[in-house]
Amino acid sequence: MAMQIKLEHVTANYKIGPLLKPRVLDDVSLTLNPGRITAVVGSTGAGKSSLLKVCNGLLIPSEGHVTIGSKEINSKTSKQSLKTIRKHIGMVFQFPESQLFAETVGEDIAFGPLNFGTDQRRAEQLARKALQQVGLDESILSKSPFSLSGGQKRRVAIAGVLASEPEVILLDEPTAGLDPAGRKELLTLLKRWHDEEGKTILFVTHDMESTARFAEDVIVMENGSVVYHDAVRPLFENTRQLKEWQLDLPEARRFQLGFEAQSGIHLPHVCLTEKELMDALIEVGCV
Amino acid sequence: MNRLILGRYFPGDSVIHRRDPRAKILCGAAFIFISFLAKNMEGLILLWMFAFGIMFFTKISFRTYFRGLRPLFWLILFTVCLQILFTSGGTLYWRFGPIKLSSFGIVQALFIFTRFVTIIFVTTAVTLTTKPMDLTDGLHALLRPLRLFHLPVDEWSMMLSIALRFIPNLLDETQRVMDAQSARGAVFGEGSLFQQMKALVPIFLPLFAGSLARGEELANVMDVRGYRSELPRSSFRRLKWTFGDTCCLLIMCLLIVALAAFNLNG
Repeated sequence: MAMQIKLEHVTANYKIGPLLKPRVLDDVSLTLNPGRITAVVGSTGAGKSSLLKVCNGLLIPSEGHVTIGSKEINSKTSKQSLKTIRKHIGMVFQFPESQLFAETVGEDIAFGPLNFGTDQRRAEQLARKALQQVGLDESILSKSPFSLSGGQKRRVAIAGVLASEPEVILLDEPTAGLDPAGRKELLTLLKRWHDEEGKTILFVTHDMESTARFAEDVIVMENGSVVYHDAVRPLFENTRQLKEWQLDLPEARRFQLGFEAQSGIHLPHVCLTEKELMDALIEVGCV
Repeated sequence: MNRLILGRYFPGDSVIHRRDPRAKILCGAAFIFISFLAKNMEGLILLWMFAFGIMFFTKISFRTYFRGLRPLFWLILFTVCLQILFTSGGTLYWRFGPIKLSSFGIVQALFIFTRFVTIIFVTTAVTLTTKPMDLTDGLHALLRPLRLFHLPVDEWSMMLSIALRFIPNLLDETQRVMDAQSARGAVFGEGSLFQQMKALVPIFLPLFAGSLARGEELANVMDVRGYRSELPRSSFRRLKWTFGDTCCLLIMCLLIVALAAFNLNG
């Protein structure tokens, strides 16, 4: 029973202190395909993080509404119903390790489930399971989260969100500040979680490599509007359009374009990973 | 959090805005002492007139000042009630055990109330019209003589300016951590007082941890860029004392003289 997220003519303003940023989301309408991994890309300040926040009720639309499953978020939604929505929609913020607070890793991961009303024993079970899902050993359950390494902290923080067993998980640049190996590992973990449980993932990223490798759908945002929402492959076909949106190409695709320009040989399809590139080169008989 | 007026700067270009921070700090401090000089009705009225005059000249709406009063409302009410109910003397209107209502108590309460509110108004006027950085510069300049007694005045002012500099960052971070914890189902500002206090732990601990880490980083950066506390420091912004600032001090002196005169006559 995957949950559907639907935005209809959503406009939102962002207010921090006395500063008001008007229309960070400008009349956005979209339907998120349930059970798929969707990447959100776009230049800084395009409204990517706001899009995530609006899906979780952290940013309330000033116009339009968001439908999540059978619930609706608009300017009149109460705190309590936001909480029920948040139970089903997990959100991982940028640098989530800065939210860790408890004395032990176990307590910190159980914080979410306990807030959402599960009892102590079940919360501990969930914490164990979540820790396993992010590939960490159970022995750190009793350690202080502040004693862990940066990468471990990040995973504990993500486990803290997975533990609530959300239907949808929203991630704001989950791999920022990680080394390439850590980045790949984290995304592989998330993909495994998605494959096993069939849940929806929406993640913001600047990295086209991870978009090409892990996402099935892409949302491109520009100045608070959604300018593209479709599968990954067609996005990387139109290079001129990409340049206009100031988006990069994945390495394999860049190689393919360079190769085609120099050799005059046209590869049969758009290649997003080295593997696809290799296969395509073998297919046309170049190797 | 956004409603806190105390210590916030309101940009503007009024007579008060343009004064040297040193003059403003001196006048503000002087006013606190002066308010204790007022011992009769004339003095009281003068204090109110002065406070409202200052507020008027800042060109900031009176509403802002009254909002600044709000966090201290209970404290003021408590002290005033204490004065009214437990001071004896003059005509006694009503009594119940140790609690009594007397003319002397009411007058006393009026004085306390005036002192409280005018002091808050005047000091708020100072902070509203002075950039935090100017305020630290001014304070630094005024405290400089204390260096003769080997007090680390420069370090104090450095600490103060760093603390002020990071307030916006801290507010930002508070918002981020609050968002993150709400996403994990935490609800703030609901339930009993104890529950509300408990709900703050997941905000404050990450903030503390983050601040410590940032402090450490900042210290390293300062070391790397050659900051040494024992060396004399020059300053990029120079404070300039003008004729208007001298006038400010003169007005303050006049106020003292007037209050003293009222006391002698009264």
